[in-house]
Amino acid sequence: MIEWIRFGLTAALIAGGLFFFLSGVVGQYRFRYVLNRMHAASMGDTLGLIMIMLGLSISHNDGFVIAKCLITCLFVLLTSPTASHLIARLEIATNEHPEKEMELIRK
Amino acid sequence: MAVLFFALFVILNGKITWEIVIFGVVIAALLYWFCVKFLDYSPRRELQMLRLIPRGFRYAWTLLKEIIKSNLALLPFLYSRRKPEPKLVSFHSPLKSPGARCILANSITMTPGTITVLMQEDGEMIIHCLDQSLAADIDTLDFQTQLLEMEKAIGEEQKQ
Repeated sequence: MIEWIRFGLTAALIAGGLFFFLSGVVGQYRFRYVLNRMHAASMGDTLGLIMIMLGLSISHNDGFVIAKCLITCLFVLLTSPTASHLIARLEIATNEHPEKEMELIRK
Repeated sequence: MAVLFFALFVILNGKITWEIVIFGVVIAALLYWFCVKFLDYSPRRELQMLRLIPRGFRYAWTLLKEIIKSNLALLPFLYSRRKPEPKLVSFHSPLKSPGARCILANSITMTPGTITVLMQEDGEMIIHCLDQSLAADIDTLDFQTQLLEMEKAIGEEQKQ
């Protein structure tokens, strides 16, 4: 019985993670501007990855595998925003008319 | 930090034997010596950081909740006819330390729907938001309040 519950949870989490990765791909076609596309791409990197790693941890139920999944999540979550930030910065620095793509607000 | 290096070594090996433990201790000690000598690490500062662990877990929990919320908030823009109205929001962050600012910028980028484009020395931050609804409370984020509390706690310990 417990095996079946574990299988169901794993399948649901991995399917959910894949859905968020797929949503990221859909976003690449749905949005036309680079910064908007980056928002869609980050969906897979965050919740997609977390759900798949959680699913793998539950399916293996081994301390070392859980720790490795946790480390993978941690490293991706630390490095991916840094790369996104650099791409966004480059886009804003090289785009001569950012106001055409978005509204500028000062708080 | 040395304990973390050792844990990482053992986890990546995938099992615990005497050989792995002895090699792990030696490598972790050497790496820690390198960090203290060349990367400005200090055991005193790490002890201060240790006291922030409960707050760190609280912060991670808030971050996870925000990641889930913002992922779900983005779905209507992908699967319905709703068009996003992108905004470039500029605001001033009250955080003082570069470390806390870096964590805030990373957390903002980590939640889909907002990307930190620029972070200046004086605390001015420029954020790209996919839609008006995501930009509404960007300057009063829960992340910032929690990081301010952590900064205050470190400041008080340094005074003592």
